[in-house]
Amino acid sequence: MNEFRVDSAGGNVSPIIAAAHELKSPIALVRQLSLMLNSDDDISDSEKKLMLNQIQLTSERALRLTSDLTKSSRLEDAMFSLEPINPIELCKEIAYELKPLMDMHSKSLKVKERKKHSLLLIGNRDLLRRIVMNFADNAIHYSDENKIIEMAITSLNKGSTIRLSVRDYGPAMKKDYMDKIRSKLEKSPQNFGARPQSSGIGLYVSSKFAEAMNGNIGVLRHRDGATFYVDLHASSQLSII
Amino acid sequence: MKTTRRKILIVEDDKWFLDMYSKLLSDAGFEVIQAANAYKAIDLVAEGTIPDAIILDLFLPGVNGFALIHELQTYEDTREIPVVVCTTVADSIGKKNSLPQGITKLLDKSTMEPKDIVYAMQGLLNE
Repeated sequence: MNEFRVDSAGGNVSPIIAAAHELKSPIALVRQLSLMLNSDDDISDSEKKLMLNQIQLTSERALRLTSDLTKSSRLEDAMFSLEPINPIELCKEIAYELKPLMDMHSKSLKVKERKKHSLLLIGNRDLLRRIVMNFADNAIHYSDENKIIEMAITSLNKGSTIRLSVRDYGPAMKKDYMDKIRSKLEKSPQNFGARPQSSGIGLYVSSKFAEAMNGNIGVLRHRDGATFYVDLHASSQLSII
Repeated sequence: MKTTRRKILIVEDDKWFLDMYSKLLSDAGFEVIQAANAYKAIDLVAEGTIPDAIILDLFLPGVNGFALIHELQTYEDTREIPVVVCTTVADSIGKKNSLPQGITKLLDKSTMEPKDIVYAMQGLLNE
């Protein structure tokens, strides 16, 4: 398992190019689904309904991204209040909100509470919500069908840091096959285990949001997927939950 | 007389694109096999599923489309399979007459009509 932190200043691809690319895919999908619906092809009512749902959810995903981009470019001008947040409740809310999208992709989202005591963190509710939504959206796209996506809340560094993580289960590889591909891809344009560039802008804005809350984001690569996380300071105030 | 349907392998990580192209090709009479990533595509080939043509997205989780093309070209029974790349970055891949090695045809997801996928397969497989 490999771990590295994601730095919003890092990488060679400009955020504008990455954003343009990231938005192209959902817009292309909406366009093609619309063309299908407008065609003379034999499409049943249930198929039409499914396509309309896909158009709606894909548009909402693209709009979330544009909204995040706008917000990330205004972080320095804006004041974001930091307050104690219950991350478990927040994750449950997000899981509920994303359920229609999960169902449409034959996936499910589970919130794991790895707590020995109540956890509160210091952050901005809106920004943290957008980070976790980005991670979950990424996980929907890159996990295998019928797999569970796990959100977890963990206390680190003797309780001074709270980690919110989203684990997906992507294509599992046999060890010998992984070694073979790894050695081949050392000479390839794309590194082993890398994800498409299209997942980059979501991470970029997430890292900006995390920085605005004095935190950071990172990723753990597994043989069969990845865990994206955000680390934030724990609240020192007495938890009442 | 028994006829064999032409077999198309679609390698695409976006389930909704995958389902749309599968429906179009099935309705046009092709047999469709789906793979959501390059590993699954290679597993299918290794298990003896040799398609007549491949439709391939380039940005895939794990191993990308270029690496899959390279892998397929190293095997005798897959190196001649026509590969149609269907991507949102067609404008940065190459021109019609100078496609990268291993790509038979390039379709731009941003500008194509959904049925272009069917026309491309019919053209390549002379149907």
